[in-house]
Amino acid sequence: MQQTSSVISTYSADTFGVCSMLYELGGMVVMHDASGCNSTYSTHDEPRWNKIRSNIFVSAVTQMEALMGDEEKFITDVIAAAKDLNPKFIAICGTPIPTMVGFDFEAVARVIEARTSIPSIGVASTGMKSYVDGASKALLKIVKRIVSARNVSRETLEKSASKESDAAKRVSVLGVTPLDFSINGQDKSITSFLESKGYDVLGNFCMDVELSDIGNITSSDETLVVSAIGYEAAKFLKEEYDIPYEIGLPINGVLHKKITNDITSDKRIAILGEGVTSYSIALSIINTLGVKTVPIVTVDIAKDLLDRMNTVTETKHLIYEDDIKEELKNYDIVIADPLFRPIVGKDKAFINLPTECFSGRIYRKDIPDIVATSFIEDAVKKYL
Amino acid sequence: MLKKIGDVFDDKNLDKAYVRIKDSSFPTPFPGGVEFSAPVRGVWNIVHVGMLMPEAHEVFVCGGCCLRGVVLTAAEMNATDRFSTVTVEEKNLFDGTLEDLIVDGVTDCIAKLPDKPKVIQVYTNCIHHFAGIDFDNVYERLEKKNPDRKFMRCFMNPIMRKSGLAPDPLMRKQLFSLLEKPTEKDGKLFAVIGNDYPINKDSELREIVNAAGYKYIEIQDCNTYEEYQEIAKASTFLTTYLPAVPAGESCAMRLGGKHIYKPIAFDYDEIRETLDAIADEICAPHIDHESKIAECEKLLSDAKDIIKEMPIAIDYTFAPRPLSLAYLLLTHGFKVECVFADSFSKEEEKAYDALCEEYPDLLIYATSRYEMRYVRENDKDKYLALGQKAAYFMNTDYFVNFVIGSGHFGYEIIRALSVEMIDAYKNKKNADEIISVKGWGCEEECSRLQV
Repeated sequence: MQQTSSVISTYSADTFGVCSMLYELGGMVVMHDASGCNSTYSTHDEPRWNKIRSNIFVSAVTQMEALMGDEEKFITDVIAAAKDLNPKFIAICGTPIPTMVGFDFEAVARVIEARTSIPSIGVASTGMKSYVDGASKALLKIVKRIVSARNVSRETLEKSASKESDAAKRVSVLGVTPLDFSINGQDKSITSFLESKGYDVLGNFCMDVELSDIGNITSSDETLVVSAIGYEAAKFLKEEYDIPYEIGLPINGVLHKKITNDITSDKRIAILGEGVTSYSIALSIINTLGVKTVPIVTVDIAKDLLDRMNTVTETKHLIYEDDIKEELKNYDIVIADPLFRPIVGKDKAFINLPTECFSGRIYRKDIPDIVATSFIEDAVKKYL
Repeated sequence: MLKKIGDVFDDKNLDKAYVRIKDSSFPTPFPGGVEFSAPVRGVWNIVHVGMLMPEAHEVFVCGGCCLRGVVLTAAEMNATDRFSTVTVEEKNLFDGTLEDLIVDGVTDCIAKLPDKPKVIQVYTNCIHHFAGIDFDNVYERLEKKNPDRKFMRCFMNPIMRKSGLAPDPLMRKQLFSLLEKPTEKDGKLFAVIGNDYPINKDSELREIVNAAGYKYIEIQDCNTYEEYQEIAKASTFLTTYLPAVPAGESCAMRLGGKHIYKPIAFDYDEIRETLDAIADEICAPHIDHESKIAECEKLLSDAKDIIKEMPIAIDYTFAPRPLSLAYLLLTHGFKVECVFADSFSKEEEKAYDALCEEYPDLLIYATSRYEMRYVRENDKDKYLALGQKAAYFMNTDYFVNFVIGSGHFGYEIIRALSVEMIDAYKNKKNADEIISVKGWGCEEECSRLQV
């Protein structure tokens, strides 16, 4: 049956994706929730909680406030905190109960902005989708909000783009949060990789960047989408500012864009996880080891992004335990978060690839830097 | 005094996060607002409490954001084999399938379990209440589809925390809801119910129960469903923690027997009254209070001689009644500077009044107000903390790691407190590591129940 998980974990939710994406930007994020979301987020989904202070709060909504549609209480409380904390922006996002009662996050954000003059965005997360959806929406919203505030037109950009022809190409990396890349330096490895290829990296959005860096995104010559989170923002920048984008995560210092090798092994590998990461690992294994590898995307991914990947290599999208378990019967080697292990047959080789988005903090110290090291290749070779 | 950290606060802003007790209001010293979550996780949640049930499997039915915390709670205590989920998706809110999803989803989870547990704890949440689902119908259908299983109705509905029975007392009540009325009561069986930890074996309570010739039982003693059912035979149900009272009342009403509520206290007169009342209830002789008090006094004095003027901070997770604890320590010369508590139990009114009168400068700090995001003592290890939140905010490794009393009761809690304060003063702990562990002690408490 779909929607049941007898033994495996669940992915971080959209609400937490919003918080994770906006965490370092100097704003204030309020989850409209009774209680528990802030504890869950800070415990399992935010490894920066004790290292970087950020204004992430819950509204502590009560039954009566929700039933009576008391949005004024929410607005008043958010404004009271904002007056003391003076955030650079305010973001509000949702959970199941606001979704049920039809809370209008965008409208309430406009009210808050009108009363505080602090830029405010509403992200209608439901608490019932994955972190990919929430983080993607948050990135797109904040980019649109900041870029539109700067009133940057495509024509302006074209004029400012008249730079020296030998200047380094500017690239923005889209879709970077600890939920996919932890805090083990993978974000910096992405930067190092791009710099080694002669790029000027404007930022990894959004780790180790500031709100002002988002305003500079439109001066990118291109963007690199390293997780499905960054895809919608990349499309927006392409459509509005004609900034081209590439999709893929560098693996062991190489960004694979197509299949360049023949399949020479009779083994079959499944790689479970987030879409762009799994896809990139699959291309890397195929190209370096010649082993058939199928990315199985086990969390939200845009259909057009999935279709695009499928034009390069066979990519599956399965999010329910039963479906994943059945599919895994077709493989010899499974690469996945350790909390998938219970549904993988004992006859399969299993390579642990922990991720914050699935197992939270449990295996944090074991999360490898797959961008800069040969972890994947070395691990797979043991089973060939 | 705590120092401001970061550059977004001036002292005026921080003012709303703390108050002199003399200037505070009872029982709610701080206004509401958006809330911060301190990274302190020792207090048990409903997953942990549910795990005390022998031969039980938990199934949570809710949206992803709610599942996330409970799934990883179970994973972190190595109990994924006792835990399953049914994910509510947005479509289920609007297409009339919320009830079917519970019935079919839970049944599916049961079918997939290699060992069929006797009890299925089904945790529904806020959305089911808001949708007004027919719980009776849901459980009737579940029982019909799974006739060999017992279903415990559990709830994860934090939105109800200020109306009706809050989730914590409700969970403690439901944990005993499968006790069946026994054909015969055991007039010599004494049950303590509703606590996370069993009452410590050194407690005078055990002494009194033994002296009366009673057998003593707690859910933590039960390894099987049948042993759990033995609790129903008790003639006396004692609760020692306010959120456990509905459990005690319910047991007495449904199963017969008498419920007594006698909470943890830090006041000698109240401890005397508590222990004598329990003794009278089961016809046990009164204990020698004077020797017990003398022993407590000696240990407190020893602790004071060693700890001297080291400032002390207490938080509400350390034990019920932090104000009573503060009063005990202040009246014994300890330098208690502050108490962390967002609100006070009404049981604390006497201690509150006494503190206002005798120690008006005692500071009360909030823990969940948004300002607390920026509050942490700059001077590492300056304080002796009683409780995990106090250890966090005071940034100290010198702390006593009790969680909601940790099973200490009677005069024994004062003895244990004194000994542990001395130990905490002499031996640093790794506070950041300890306080990050969810449900302190639960894994050990429930390890015997692993499939």
